Amino acid sequence: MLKTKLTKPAPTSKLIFRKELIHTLESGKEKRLTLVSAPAGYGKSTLISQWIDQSDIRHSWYSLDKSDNDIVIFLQYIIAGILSDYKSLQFKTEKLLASNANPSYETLATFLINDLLEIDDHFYIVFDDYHLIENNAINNFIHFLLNNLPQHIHLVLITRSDPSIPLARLRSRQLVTDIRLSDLSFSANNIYDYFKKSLNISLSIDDAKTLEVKTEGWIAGLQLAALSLQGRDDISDFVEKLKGDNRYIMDYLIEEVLQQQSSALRDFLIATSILKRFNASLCNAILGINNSQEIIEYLERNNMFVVPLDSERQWYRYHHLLEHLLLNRLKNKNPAYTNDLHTKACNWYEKNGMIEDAIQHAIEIKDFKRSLGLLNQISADLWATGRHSSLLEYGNLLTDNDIYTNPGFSIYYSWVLIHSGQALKAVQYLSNAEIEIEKRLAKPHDSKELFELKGRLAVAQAILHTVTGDFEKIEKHSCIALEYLSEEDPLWYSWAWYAVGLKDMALNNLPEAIKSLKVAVDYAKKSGNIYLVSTIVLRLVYTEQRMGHYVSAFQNCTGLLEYIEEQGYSELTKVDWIYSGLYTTLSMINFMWGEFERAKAYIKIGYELSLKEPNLTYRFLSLFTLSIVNYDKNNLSHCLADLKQLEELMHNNTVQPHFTVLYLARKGFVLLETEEPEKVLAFFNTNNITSDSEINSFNEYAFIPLVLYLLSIGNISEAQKKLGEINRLATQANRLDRLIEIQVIYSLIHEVSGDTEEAVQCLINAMDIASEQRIVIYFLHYLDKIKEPLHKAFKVLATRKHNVPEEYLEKLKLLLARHKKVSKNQNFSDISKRELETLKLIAEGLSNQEIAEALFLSIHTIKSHVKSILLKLEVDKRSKAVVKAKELNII
Amino acid sequence: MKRKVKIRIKGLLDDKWRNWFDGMEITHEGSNSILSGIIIDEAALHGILNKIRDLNLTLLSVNFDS
Repeated sequence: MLKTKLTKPAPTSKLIFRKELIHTLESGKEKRLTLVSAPAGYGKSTLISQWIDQSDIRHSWYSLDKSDNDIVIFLQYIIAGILSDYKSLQFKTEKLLASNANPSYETLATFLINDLLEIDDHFYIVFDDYHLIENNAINNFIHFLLNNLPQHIHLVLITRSDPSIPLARLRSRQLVTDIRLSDLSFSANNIYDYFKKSLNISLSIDDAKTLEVKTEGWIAGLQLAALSLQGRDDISDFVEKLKGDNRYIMDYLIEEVLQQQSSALRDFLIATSILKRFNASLCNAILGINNSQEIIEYLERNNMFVVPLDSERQWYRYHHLLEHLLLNRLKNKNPAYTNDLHTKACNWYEKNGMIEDAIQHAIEIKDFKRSLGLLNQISADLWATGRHSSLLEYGNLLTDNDIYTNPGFSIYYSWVLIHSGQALKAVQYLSNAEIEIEKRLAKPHDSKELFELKGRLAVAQAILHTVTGDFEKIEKHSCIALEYLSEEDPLWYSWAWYAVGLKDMALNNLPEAIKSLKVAVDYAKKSGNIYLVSTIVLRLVYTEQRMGHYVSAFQNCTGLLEYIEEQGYSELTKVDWIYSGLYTTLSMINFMWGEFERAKAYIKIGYELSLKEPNLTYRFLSLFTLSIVNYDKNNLSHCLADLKQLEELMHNNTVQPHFTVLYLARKGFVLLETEEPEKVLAFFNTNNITSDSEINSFNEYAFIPLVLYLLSIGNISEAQKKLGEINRLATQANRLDRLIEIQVIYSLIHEVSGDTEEAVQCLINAMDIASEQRIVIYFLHYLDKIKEPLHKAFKVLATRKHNVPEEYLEKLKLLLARHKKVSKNQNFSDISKRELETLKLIAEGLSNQEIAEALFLSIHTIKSHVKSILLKLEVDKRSKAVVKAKELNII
Repeated sequence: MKRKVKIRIKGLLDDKWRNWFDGMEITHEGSNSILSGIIIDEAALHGILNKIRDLNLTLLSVNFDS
């Protein structure tokens, strides 16, 4: 990090003080944004700098350059700037940046805003040269800040062109101070004053007017004119000549200025224009001289467009305009001379450990070999600090052939490519890196470093193939990764185990996946990377959910929430889309447990978070879960609309094959409820869900609705046959929720066939499995069809020894009772007139006794009404009944 | 998309700026200058316009030859 970028340039003493503008700034002090927008050389930065000094404003100053288009760098500088003033603050945003996860701008802004709440004074964050920002994520980030900053935090944007941020709303709320070209340009009066007071040059009024017309009040032009005028007596002559010359004014003036300098000074100015910033040592190095310090001091003293970048006056830069003018002169010189300058600058930077600056100069002269050599030194670091867009940018600048021979860079570059949706591009880099590493391993080598490289390469390859879906390759590479990496490298080791887990998931080997993912979580926690921990845990709980391991999934979900809270990042789960998966799983678990209110609350969060997701995994899963949790037998058109959304999602995008099965099963279930057999049959046929289709461990779930359909048309033998096949697969894979559902359906079949005893036994089997995971939903779902055997099953269990815990049975009975009542009261419409009256009075805050008196009824009757209301509305408290009744528009 | 472009700016710009503007031809017309050449895509055009802005040159018009 360059401290010089965070130093406010000292306003040059010789410039006149701009009283009216400072006044405008002062009176707009309370506003959220100060926007100074005008071309180069109009004194924008100087003005803000003067204001800050004059009014003693607490601020951080951030001079942007092109490399700041990486949002991670951008934030690091913002934070460093603030922390240099508030040394004791600790910013949580910092750790997020280093998490390798590319958090969204919204997540970052939310955390930064929280961090900023720690500051209690008015504070101004100044961004100089904001026009260099091209990355829209940063514009969005600033926009988000502007709309959400606390009152006492203000932004100042200094820019040559208006930022790509919508400001109309802020302007209409009077939250913006604008300083523009017309405010900044000098009038003839200003020009007269400036020459007189700052430079001790007396202009005639006419000359001042001519200069105003000629320069259009452009301060940089006037300054250059002033430089040319120094030591001249023929002021009016000079102004006349300038007036008569149609050349680009800067060309004319720079020529005049340079001609007045010694040739040594001219060479110095032109040569050093290649440097974005310079100090005496660097200038000495590229010019082969030893008096740069004196020259720089001379330039500063004479107001020759040098800007000090630190308070020690070691680093400087030229005013951008002069830099351009000088650089253009250099361009017209011998290219070999320029190349030599860049090479020397590159050497100096490398020697002084400023590798990224060295790379810039190597790239400038297209020395890609050297660039890559340097890049190899820092790519691991760039990767580890989350600077992904920098890696992408370097990758774009370099040729493929050069990249191929540099496995160090290739690995990190590919990793970023894979995670930014360009996996196919990474294939060639990784395979060439592999060849190169093998070559090096064949020669005498430093084994530790090369082994680490080989291990990391294998991780990148394994992760790559989780995208391409080549399972054998995932297996091969993850084995290599685990062999060559050690536990001392927990981050990469964790990634390797994660890849193994993903492979097992893709192969539908869920128990193995669970094991691998658990190992991956342990190492991820050791690495301290919150995003990695979260990513893996979310895969883990989803896999457990698919296996029917709801208790463990629940523990892991709450474990993750606790972990994140311990690390101090609980806000993260509320804003970042990856936690959509967490709430979706929590919703499903609660649904399975009969906790419907909680399930609904969770899926609401899960679905909303998923809307921010750039890809569609969580969008699909949350919509799918939403369609289950919000399922209402009495409102099938609503359910079909939810499913329609899923269909559209699948139609417009490629989704995992496993998702298609989930969708088919769900749609099958809902269609069965519509009781339109032709439609159901047509749906099965078009999706190849027929008696003749092959059932396997991937698609078995989609066949359960078929079994139910066969039963509904009386084809019991075929239903039994299909259910048998599904049962075999579910038993093999030990998928608990499927096994429960199958037993319940068996019970239903036996009941229809008149074998009540067997039907009862199947339900007891089902409870046996279900109780361990606290699952109740299947008994509720099929209740209408298994009422009798279920009733008997409870009786049987009451009389004989069994493994089903009493607690579970009690809960199940309670839910069944509630369910019966509710399903009797379709749409809550048959809350009786008396109950409704009672409900209204509860809403007014009356006690049971008061209600009884008001309605001329006994308190006993009221109590029974209340009980009935609670049951019908599926709530456990009076207060909740009121809320719900209002939601349902009953009262 | 490649296009031929003519950019008119106020003032007489020296031919020495040719390299600076990615090799675009610089001609004069009255007291104005015309930068003409082929730009390879929109990003290149915006790059040229940024350079014009950065030198505080006054942009008069941008025309495309079809």
